[in-house]
Amino acid sequence: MVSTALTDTITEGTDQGSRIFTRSFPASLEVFDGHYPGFPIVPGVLLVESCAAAVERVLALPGHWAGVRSARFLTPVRPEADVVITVTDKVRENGDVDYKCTVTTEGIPACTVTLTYSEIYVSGAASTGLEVGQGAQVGDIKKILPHRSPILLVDRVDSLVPGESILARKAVSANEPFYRELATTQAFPWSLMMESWCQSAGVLVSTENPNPDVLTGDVMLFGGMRGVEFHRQAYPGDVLTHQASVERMVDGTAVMTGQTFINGDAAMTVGNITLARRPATELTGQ
Amino acid sequence: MNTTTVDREDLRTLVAETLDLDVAEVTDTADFVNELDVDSLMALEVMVVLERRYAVKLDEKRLAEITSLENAHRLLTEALEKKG
Repeated sequence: MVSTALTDTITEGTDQGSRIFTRSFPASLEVFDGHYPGFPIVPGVLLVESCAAAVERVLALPGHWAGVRSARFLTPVRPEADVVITVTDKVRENGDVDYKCTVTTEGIPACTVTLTYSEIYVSGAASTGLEVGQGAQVGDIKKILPHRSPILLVDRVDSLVPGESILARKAVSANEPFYRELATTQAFPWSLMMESWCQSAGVLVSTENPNPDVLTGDVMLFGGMRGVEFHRQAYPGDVLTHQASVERMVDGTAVMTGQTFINGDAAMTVGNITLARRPATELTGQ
Repeated sequence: MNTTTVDREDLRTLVAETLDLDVAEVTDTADFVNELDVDSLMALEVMVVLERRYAVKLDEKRLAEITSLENAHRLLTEALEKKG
């Protein structure tokens, strides 16, 4: 039986007074089937989700996980690797509480993540200037992205202006594997909403240079994110509408910005996210 | 207020925040790539953050010139002067 749970394998320890958490990513984890076929690496958002799970064990009254102030991904984490999460410090800004986490894998820094916690979700700006049904025809998303089930999180592209912007959707369903061990009344994990947004952004930057197979093409990597704010949670039956636009794109690296909406209400704001395409051989050294 | 001035300390704080470094590490001349471990992804992110904060457009070809706080300051000041 493969586990579909995102964070149930976290264990806690201490190291010189700071609280450390260990989590393993066994090769049998279902997410590796689709991320990516033939070249499994841990999705960056799962490292972020693991940090949030660690922080929520540190906090007595966690409040809401309200966003990601910043995250930087340094080294891809491969299956069977253990990761160690250290919740390092706490900063207060504007009444929010920030927790900084450092994540290492086999002793190498894998990522640094600063999470924001808040009493309430702050509303996001309402949608402005979304134009549905314009731009290029996209066709089969599997011919553009290397992601596959259970972690292909874009269902349809509504509009796309190459090199500029995209409007895409993802229907959240109780039938997807992440709900196998969750009640249907539980919110769709924020990490997967971020992943889904990133994949929409990935369609935008890959549409003119499709990348359906990491073994012959490139691995799509998460470079970092900044100013991601959560506003409204999604539940089975909701349709996420992702709007993403390119701020800068240079040599396979793109800085993107945008929002996610549910029924026209802002669900998430993305300050910016950096995505990079790199040949698989560059990562394996083979 | 002179809109063509870039406050060096504001810029230092912004760069440090973006790169996840202590302000003290971002000296005027510390080399982003060799001393502060900035890779091409982070360099592009710095460029986007600077453009947003100072409302200027920087030429992608000059990305390689943003090698230190001093150089970033010069490039931004130039861009703001051009904008007028």
